[in-house]
Amino acid sequence: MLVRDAMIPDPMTCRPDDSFRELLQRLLDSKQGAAAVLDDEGRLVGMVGFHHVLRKVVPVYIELDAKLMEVMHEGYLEERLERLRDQHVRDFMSEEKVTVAPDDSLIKAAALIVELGRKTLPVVEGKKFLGFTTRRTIFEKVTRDILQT
Amino acid sequence: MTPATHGVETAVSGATYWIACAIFAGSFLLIITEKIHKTKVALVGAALTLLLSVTTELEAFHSPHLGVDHNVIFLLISMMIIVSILGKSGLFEWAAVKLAKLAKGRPFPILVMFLLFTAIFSALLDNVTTVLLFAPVTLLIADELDLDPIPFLIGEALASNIGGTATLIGDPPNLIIASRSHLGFMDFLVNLAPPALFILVVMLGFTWLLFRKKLKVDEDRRQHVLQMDETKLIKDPVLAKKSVFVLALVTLGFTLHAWTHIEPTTVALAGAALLLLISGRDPHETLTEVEWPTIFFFIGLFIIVGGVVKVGLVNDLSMMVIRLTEPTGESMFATSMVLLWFSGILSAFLDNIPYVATMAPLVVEMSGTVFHGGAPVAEVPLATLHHPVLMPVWWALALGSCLGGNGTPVGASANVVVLGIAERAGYKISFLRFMAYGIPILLLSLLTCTLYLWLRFYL
Repeated sequence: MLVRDAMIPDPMTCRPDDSFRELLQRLLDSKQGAAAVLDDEGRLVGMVGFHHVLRKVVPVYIELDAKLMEVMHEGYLEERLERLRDQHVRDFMSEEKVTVAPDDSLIKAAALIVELGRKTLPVVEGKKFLGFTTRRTIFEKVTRDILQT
Repeated sequence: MTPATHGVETAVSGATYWIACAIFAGSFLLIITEKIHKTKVALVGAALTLLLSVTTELEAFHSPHLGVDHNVIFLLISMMIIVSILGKSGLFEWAAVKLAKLAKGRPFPILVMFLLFTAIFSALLDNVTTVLLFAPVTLLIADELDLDPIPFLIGEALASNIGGTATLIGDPPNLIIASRSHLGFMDFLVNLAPPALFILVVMLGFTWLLFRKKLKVDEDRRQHVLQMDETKLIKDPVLAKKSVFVLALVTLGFTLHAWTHIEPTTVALAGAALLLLISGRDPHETLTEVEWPTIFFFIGLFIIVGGVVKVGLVNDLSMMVIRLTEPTGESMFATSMVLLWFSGILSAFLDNIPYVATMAPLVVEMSGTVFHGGAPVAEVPLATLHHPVLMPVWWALALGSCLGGNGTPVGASANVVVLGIAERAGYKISFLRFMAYGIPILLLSLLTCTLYLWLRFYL
């Protein structure tokens, strides 16, 4: 089976200039944890989601010395998020270098998901964004037989 | 410039002299300009030294005068092993938070304590590792107190260089000087700790003048620090205790050197072996954390410098120093003063390790000439190397090359590391901004040392 058989029906998209608050609201309303960031021509310029926001909040020194997470004060997360309220999607998004094509095999998508530790992979044709394939959609597609017998 | 036989195994031809000089000059230039990684340069230089028969394998690998000084290498490796295991225990972070709480979350006392702590640890462990261990927790404390971390970080870099000056093992230049001069741990401590301590105090005063207004914190933010549970930072209390135990033993071993006559390398090696054994850690994992590029840099550098010692370039350079500063068997005042300032200023801009690796044998050559009318490096007796008239020259070299590192961001590896971490955390410290602190501290340091050497050895 191919990637085009295991894509989510209505992928979330947004623009770099969308506000942080807009993004949050849409992420919370949808069941998806990430959105594709598209330019005016529908080309993929990046991805943004809960993970990206957390990455911005969790300080660098935790990366340098993970033990320090034990002593950070309780309200840290709320305080930091509060400071980000006036930012925009472009302040959080990451460039997406790893993508799959609609005609790639599902094993390739699965292997990338495992290797990179991700949940979602953008599907593109050239630069044009087509949708997402996720752990869930892959499983839904390939385990149908297991569940039916 | 005449090539010399120099009491070595093989006679040196004119061509070999120039080959050795070319390798030396080329290597130094590449190391200084940082166009190629210094370890690569050092190894290629060493390979050329051997391939082109400047030195023999016997000289390169078995002669501390003409090649690799394994005392230095094994001391470095052993301390790296100890620090690697010590660093894993969470002890540094625990201590830093405890100090911050002791200071009741007040910024200036925390700064003072962190700088003192960094200096003390840098005296025992290598400067870069000390800063690497302190920088993240410093960033945490500054973050929780909503303070600019830059005064803390720059202060720690400077304090680590000052602390490292105080002991034989604190900074590689001292290690190299010790290996050439055969001076002991207590010699270094007794002669270098006083000026280092004074300079540290001066630096704290300078920091207070500059930052006392900037370092203000709200009451509720101080609570963030006061409520930290530092015990959570020690993941493995048993390992922490074992590590401290070994570090204390090793420190004791260093200080008792004058009585036990057990060399610092042996003490360090024994400590590393003991800690590896009782920590139960996998040697593979621990040894991965040894700074092998640094070790191989030293190895290559020793061989390159051994080459120019052998062909007599170092002797020729020492003759130039003698003509310039006119040291005698009664006084080497001008030599020590010139060396202090020259080393200090040079080390601010250039890597002090290749410099000291060349200057230490140069001082030996010079002493051979002044006291014995010229004697090969390998044969200068201990009494000469420890002659009271020569001592201030050694200390001038040590003080200048260690303290010089504070002048600019590139003067010491600890500075480079701190700036790198600061930038990663979103705080870019410009070259000039660092120098605004570094240059005054350097000048203060050199003036202090000038006064110190004069008062102690020449008055």
